[in-house]
Amino acid sequence: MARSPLAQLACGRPSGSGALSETLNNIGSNIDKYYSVASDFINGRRKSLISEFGPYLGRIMIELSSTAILARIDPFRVLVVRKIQEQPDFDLNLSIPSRIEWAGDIIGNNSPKGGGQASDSSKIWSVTAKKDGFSRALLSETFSEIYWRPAVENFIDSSTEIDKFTLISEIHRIDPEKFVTSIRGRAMQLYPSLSKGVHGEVLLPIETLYDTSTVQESLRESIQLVAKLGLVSHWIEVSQYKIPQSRVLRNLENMKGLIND
Amino acid sequence: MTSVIDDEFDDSFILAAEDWPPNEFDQKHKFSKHDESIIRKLVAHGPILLRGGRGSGKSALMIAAHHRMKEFYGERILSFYISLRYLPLLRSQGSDYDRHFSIWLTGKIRSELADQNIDIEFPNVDDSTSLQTSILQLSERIGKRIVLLFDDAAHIGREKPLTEFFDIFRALSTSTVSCKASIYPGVTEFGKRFDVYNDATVIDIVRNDRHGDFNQFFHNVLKERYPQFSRKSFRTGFDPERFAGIVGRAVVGNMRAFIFACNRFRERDSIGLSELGEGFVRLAEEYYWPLLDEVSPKLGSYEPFVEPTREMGEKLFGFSAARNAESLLIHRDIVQHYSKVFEILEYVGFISRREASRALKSGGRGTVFSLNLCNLLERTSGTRFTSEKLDEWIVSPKDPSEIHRSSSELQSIVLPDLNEDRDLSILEMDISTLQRSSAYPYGLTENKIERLRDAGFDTVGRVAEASDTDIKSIQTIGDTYLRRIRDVVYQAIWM
Repeated sequence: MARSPLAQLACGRPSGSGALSETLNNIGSNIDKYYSVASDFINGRRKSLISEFGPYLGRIMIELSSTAILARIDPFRVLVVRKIQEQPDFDLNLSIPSRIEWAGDIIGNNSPKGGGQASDSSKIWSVTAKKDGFSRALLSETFSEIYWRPAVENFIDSSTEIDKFTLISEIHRIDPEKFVTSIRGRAMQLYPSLSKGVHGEVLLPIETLYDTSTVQESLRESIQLVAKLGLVSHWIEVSQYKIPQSRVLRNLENMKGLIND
Repeated sequence: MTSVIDDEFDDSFILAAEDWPPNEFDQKHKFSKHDESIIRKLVAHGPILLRGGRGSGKSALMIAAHHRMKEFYGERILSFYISLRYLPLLRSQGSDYDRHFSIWLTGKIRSELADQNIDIEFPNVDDSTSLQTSILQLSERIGKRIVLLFDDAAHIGREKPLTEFFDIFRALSTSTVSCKASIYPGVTEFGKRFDVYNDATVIDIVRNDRHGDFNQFFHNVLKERYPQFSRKSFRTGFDPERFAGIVGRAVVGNMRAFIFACNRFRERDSIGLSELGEGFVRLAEEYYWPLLDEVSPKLGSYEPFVEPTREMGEKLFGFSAARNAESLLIHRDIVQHYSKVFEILEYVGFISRREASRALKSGGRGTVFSLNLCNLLERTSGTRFTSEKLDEWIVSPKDPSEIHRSSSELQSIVLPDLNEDRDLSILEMDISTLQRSSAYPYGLTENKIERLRDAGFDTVGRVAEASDTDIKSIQTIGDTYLRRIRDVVYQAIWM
């Protein structure tokens, strides 16, 4: 079955029967389901309970997509978690300390630690840096320097359809050094704002905080955020299951109307 | 008396969105698909910074969002459109700025509540902490979320007070109150507490001439503002849509320059390549270069940069004209060294930043700028707009010409030292500055200027500081002309 455009951008085109491929297929299948309902909310085909379910959909699409992209770039963490979940004593009732976490695995801790992970990128590569000082989070400064910035530059210099898609024009208008900073900043606003609607923290009338226009825009932005990451991930040298530029563009075409394009 | 004064008005001279009477705004403004997506973000909850050059359409988008919230989302949202064109905000810092801002915003909120017949007493407050509490309480009492749209938050010549503004912006943004503000591309001083990537979403307003709906968008504007163009005779295979697209590209997508250009072309019965070429060169001479003179006295501490900017403009257009290039790829070190100069060039619409970073063939990376075709044609040998130029500049443009790091082209441009405390010199300029001219197309008549001078308002600053009552006490000046005076003063100081 053909994957949704978002699942294809995030998960690529997994092949074979290995653990990574299987994991990405599972994540892709889940993204498809949420993406379909989110599309209905954005297009106004589905209206009821948008305040209640919209924030959940936005958040889960960000989580699943960023986990898939992380798995394609640096599979270690995701495969460890998968292995743990395969153990006979894995129990849904238990809290799993090694689970994939938003702050630690996706955003990354930006406080300096003996060199290594630092907020100032020039200090990352200190000769005194310790091994555990280098964050392996998807949006960490280390990932930005090693993977994202070169990929954005490769993408910019090779892309031919700059003007057909707003999403691509936006990438061209950001300095490659600021790409991760801008994505991380937006993610750090969007994710907590969606989470408040998921955790039942809201004690004010939910329609006031999550009115239709706000939820629709948050869903668009959630998709756009991970679509942008997914797109560039196909220009990262080491990322797995990459899809060619023509297929990336076809996916963007198929998302028109949903995202701000 | 206002009937006589009304005769002096011509809506084709209205270049700024905020100058339209509210009841005509929606009819006179057209938005592209991309604009509509920006309006949606302005309506949705969350902090937004809308970034765009002079005349790029920031105010129009904010006013449209405000109107839509009132009309379609009134049940859930209460919105306030607040112009920050208030002289004390340009002149104060620290707690003074906080006090002026709080008093100004309080007044605007009270006035809007009265206009919307909302029977709630909003307290008079003069500090941002009380303001934050009062706005939150207002939201609770009416059971709606609140959107505050701050227009003209940043001024190109005055960066100091922005720290305070962004602190207030951040403090007022809560789970039921969202702030949106318009800023210029060169705004970089956000203060220590405001993180531009974490505390707001920045949206760039760019009209990309290579985007599918570019021609159609400018054609829609043309149809609405200038219906007479549909009756004109077009040559060289042109039609109104193609004409609108070419003029839109020539002015690098800047709406205010587009309106200005159409005002010139509407005098023509027939339009072909030669008329377009003549019109573009006239725009360069009578609109673009004079803009530098208009902008100069409102640059504050950056006023000494006007001459290097003029020199940079001449060199860039000369370089491009010699290579028949409509865009330039300039090494990042050069752009960084002359950052304020490039900002001023963008602000006046000479150039438009198309891409932040692209590899140069000679090594390194640089910024891609589109050039306005009016100044480019003016510097081209023969200054004729031919079918070859149409092809090379618009239909199938080639790759941008490159200015590499060690290029000698721009090395002679010297940046003078700046005095950071320099005030805006426009405020001290004689009132005659506001007389109708190429810099102020809808400026004041000689008669009105003399009346203002006789009443003691002899500088632009004094008129800006005067109360409505003081100005209306001058014979023959009523509400209509008061508005006109305010618009011209706003243009002189802020736009």
